Amino acid sequence: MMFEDNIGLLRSTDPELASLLSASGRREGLQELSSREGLPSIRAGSITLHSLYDPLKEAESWIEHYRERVDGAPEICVLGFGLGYHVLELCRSTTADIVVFEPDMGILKAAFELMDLASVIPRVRFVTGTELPRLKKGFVVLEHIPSVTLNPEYFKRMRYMLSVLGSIRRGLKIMVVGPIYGGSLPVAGYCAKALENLGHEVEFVDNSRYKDIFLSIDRITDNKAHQGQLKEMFVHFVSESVVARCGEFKPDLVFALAQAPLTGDSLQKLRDIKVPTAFWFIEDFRLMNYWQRIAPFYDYFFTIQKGEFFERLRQMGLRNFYYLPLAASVDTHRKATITEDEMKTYGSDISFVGAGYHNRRKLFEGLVDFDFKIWGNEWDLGSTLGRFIQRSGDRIGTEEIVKIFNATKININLHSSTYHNGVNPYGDFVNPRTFEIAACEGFQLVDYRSEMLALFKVGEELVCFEDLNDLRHKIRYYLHDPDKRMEIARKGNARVRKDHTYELRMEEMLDLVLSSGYELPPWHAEGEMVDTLVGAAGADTTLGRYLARFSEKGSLGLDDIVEEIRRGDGTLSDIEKIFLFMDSIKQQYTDRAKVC
Amino acid sequence: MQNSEVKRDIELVGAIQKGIAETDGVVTEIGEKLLDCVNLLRTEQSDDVFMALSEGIKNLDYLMEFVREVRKGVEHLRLRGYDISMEPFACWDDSLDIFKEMLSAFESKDWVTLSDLIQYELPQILGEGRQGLSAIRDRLMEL
Repeated sequence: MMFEDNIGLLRSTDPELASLLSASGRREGLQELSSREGLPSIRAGSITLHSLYDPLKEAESWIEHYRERVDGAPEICVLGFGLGYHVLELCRSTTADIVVFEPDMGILKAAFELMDLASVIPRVRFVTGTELPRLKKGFVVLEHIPSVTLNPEYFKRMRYMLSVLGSIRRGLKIMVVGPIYGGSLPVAGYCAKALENLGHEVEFVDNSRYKDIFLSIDRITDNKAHQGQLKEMFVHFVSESVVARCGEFKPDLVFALAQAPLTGDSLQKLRDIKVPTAFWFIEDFRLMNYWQRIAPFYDYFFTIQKGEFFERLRQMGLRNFYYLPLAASVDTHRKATITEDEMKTYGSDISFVGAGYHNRRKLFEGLVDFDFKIWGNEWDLGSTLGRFIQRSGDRIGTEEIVKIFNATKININLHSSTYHNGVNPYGDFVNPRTFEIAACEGFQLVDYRSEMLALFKVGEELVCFEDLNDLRHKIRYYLHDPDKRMEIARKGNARVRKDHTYELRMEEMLDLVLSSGYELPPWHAEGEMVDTLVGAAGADTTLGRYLARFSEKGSLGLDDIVEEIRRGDGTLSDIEKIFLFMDSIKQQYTDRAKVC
Repeated sequence: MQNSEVKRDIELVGAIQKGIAETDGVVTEIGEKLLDCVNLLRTEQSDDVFMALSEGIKNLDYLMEFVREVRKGVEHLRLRGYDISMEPFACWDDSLDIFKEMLSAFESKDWVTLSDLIQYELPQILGEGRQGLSAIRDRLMEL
């Protein structure tokens, strides 16, 4: 009866676990015991899970021990459930979210059979495997010692993963490597900004500084072979400079965007020194095949396509690849007030922003009877579309693009194709424009993509078209219904802000990295955890109080302390003088080692 | 009875009395230190806790060794014709099972059982044992 009641509750919060538990048996050799007060306890092998004298008092003491950590924590992870006395007490003591890690289905089954868990189940997320759920910044970890003793390997792993996640949540050092030029360049900047917004220390390696030099290579010689060789040598130089920066910056993760100039040699060097690397391939794998060359060198490979692409990656023997759709930077792409003058410049019934790919040229020939503006480069000014092309086909900057999206009644968004004559009927990934127009609260008609339904409610948050006829029909319909346009644009905007920002993508990327065996690079071992140092010094000592100011940092080394002292002003304290003295000794030895 | 034997009996009685007097505070301390370990034992597994626990259990062992020595001394005095009851040692005999259980829990890492025994059984055992030792000391003073 107890089991039925508990499992009924679990079914509404975690049906998958409910099914698993229903099908599970109790752990073999599990002894059901009774405390002096008649309350249930269990013993697995030689390990007793709860007091045989007073399990309730034991649970109260457990909470008291962790009181400081429980108070104010936004989320609490409990390692081990047993029969759940301590979790019952925790639910009474806090309103924080609770996640319980319990790998032993046999024990969980016993708990569901023996305990009334009505107050626990609706409050708790159970984790029975090794995948970490999304956890809030500032989460704390409490341990149920007997459960940990019973499954030491599992909890050792989870403790480590949670500790790494804690470091991630407190802030990692992340090097973002952008391309020399191209469409992924702004995305690299958005990712760097988003990671900063999430509290990470970011070094953005902006390789666009090399663009002019790189492109000038074509003018050195007309010989294609020589051009290729020179470009290869140049990319090698840029790539090595990234590795050199890693030595200085000591990143916890190198995150590279599509077309980032990192060679296999450089990536191998990073792998050799155990610096984790991730790559976001935000291109069409069917058009750009360099992924085959570079994917094996990255520890984590993110894509905007699944299906066949995943199959191909799998065939290459890769495992750590993940789907990560594009997004919008809502700091950049946002609703803007458009002046009358701006409206004259940027406004029109329909507009398109982007390069003149083959399919766009073909499809847009069918829209010449509309008030149409085309913005962007690579268009043929001498074609029938010539009179619609703004600024003689110059590239348009982001600020102006935001104004265009805001000023246009209907933004046309057609994913590029070099060989279709209009809409690519097999198109899968969703381009950045889709998210950006919505982030500006612009109304858009976008060609159907197979991934679109998973990202937006089509018809409610944006509108899709299938071909030219469908597009023309929808343009006419929505031009005459401004209220409907605004309603859809508002909903699209809300959806992007809720689900499709670069902050969310970067968070997801880091969560995926973490749950896939991420390990902090070796230079973390150079620093000690602040808590440990404070504990060793004594929390009430002058040194302990001084070190406690670094508690947000997680791990701490002499370099961090010296850097902080040098940033400060005023008279040096005695402790600061000692640290500077230690640093000067360290420098002397380092210099001597270099000489030797 | 020869004078030298009487003298040795007196010395033995004195030594037992002194030992019991000195142990009186130690018994309380052992109990308190082990109790301090209990809460930590239920909540964390730091090296400090295990060191304190090992120390406490080692001290318990020393205490039992001391009680065994006292018992030998008292048995010797009884053989020498002194009227001393062995009854106060009964509580120490009873505690042996609990100590064995504690040791077994320690060896099998059953921290809940070990904590339960320290928290709920040990105080009574040590209290009764202390009273037993006091009773022996009082009787020896009457001799």
